[in-house]
Amino acid sequence: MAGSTTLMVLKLLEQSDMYGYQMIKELEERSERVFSLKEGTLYPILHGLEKEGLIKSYASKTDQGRPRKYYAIQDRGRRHLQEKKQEWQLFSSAVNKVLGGVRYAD
Amino acid sequence: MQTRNSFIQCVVCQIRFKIARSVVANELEDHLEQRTREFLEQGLNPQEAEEKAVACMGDPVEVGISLNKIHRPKAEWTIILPVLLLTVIGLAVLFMSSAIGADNAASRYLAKDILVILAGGVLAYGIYRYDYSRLKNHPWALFIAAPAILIAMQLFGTPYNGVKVMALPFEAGILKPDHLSSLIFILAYQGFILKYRNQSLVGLLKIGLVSALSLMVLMAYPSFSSLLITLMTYMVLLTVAILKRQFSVRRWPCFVLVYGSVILVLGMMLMTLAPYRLERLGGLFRPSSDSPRNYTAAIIERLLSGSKPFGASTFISSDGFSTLPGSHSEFAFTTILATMGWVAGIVVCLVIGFFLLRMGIKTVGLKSDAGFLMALSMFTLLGAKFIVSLLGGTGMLGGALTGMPFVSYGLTDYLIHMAAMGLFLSVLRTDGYLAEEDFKPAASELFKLEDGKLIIDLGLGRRKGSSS
Repeated sequence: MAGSTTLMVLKLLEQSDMYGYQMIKELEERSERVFSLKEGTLYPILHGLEKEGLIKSYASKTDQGRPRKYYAIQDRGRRHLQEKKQEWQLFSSAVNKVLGGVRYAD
Repeated sequence: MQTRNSFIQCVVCQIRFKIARSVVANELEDHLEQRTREFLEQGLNPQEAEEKAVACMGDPVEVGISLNKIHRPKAEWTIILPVLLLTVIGLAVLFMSSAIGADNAASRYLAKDILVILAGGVLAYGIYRYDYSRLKNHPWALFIAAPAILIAMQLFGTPYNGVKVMALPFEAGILKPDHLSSLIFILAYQGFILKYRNQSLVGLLKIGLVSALSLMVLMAYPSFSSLLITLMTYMVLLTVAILKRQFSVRRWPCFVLVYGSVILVLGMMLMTLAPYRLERLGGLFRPSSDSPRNYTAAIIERLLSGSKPFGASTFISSDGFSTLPGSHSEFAFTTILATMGWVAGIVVCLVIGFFLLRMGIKTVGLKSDAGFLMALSMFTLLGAKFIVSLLGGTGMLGGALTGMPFVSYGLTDYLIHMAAMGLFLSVLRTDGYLAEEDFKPAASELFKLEDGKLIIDLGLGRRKGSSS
């Protein structure tokens, strides 16, 4: 599952810079609460992605003046996302074919 | 049930790299606070809200263990190995110059030199573990310490080659205070840039003033090589700071101002105080036979004539090694070319090139402003010394001005270069983990045209406004 969370995190960051909690909320909403991962496990994923240079963090102050850590996707992250997305589509269409979920009439 | 704090403590306890702990703790704290607030809004009481928020996070030990695997200081072997290699080459140079009789005393120093290398290693490691970012908070203390060392040396030092130095007991070597002062000035300078960068032109003028004062101190000692290296480092730092819009000024007029005044002052100093330097520098641009060649350059040329791919040059084989004036450590590259051959020289250049390239790449990738300035200073300091020592060693500068970092044997230089490397590695170790002050350059320009009036904004009003 860690791989798919990585993919979803990169997808979210592709659209806008976000902080950890915001990502959790977005993931919950977009997956219609199918995904509710243990929230703490998001941070090792984010920090790992940052160390690999796929995303970058920066501090920005909240309205209350507290520093908040935001993440932004990098070019390497965008490329990685594209590759993984293709892999995922290939995989899910293969699964669908096996399960017979999609059939095209001749 | 766990509270918010006990959860965070439990996570960060798993992370062995202590510097990373506060960053992780702050991020988790922010997360838990928002989650708790959401539960409060849903009508839970504060204790329930906090407990539920913590429960959403999962197992703290598991999270902590995963984070520990990520937050580990890397051993920067691409930086460390070239330094070790250059040190070994330095020992070989020492051995060679002793073997060919260039420096009969060299073998006597060999044991001492190994001690210097060990001391350098300990120093570099100590500085690597030190939080360099504390230095930027005390620019004035550093700025006063640097000349204080020189003055103390003038009062209590031992005369050596026309200057006063500190002779260590048991003939352990000499400490050249100007090289140390130069490093301290460079450390102070970074603090000044970070301190004055939001003051537009006034800040820039203040920096100009402290630069001029520090360079005058080095000139008075006198140390032309330290002055040159310090000036080069200052210029690189200031240029990059202006380019990165750290000062809210129009960039090009600023460059004209900064470079114009430096060239003017330096030219005047050279002409009035040390006209012979100009002749030497002239040799750089007129290397033909009609240029004035001094004794050193002539010897270097003779030593290098007939140098072979491997082994000693034919000149050395037939005539022996002519003694170079001054300290042999400053002619490390000459010795390498003349005794080991030009292939060894190319290898040394490649190692240096690789080392500087790695330093450059690492510097560009840094996040923190203070870290970037520190890394850039150390990169410039070492890079300038490598270039000057390579050019000097081939006779192109008409004499040697500085030793080659890590290669040249000499207590002060080795320790200072190891300290520089320690500072650089310390920046790499802590980058992204240290709290950084938010800095946004004020969006104003020095010269503005409004309603047909030329407005010169020195940033004074803004400074008063922000401090109130």
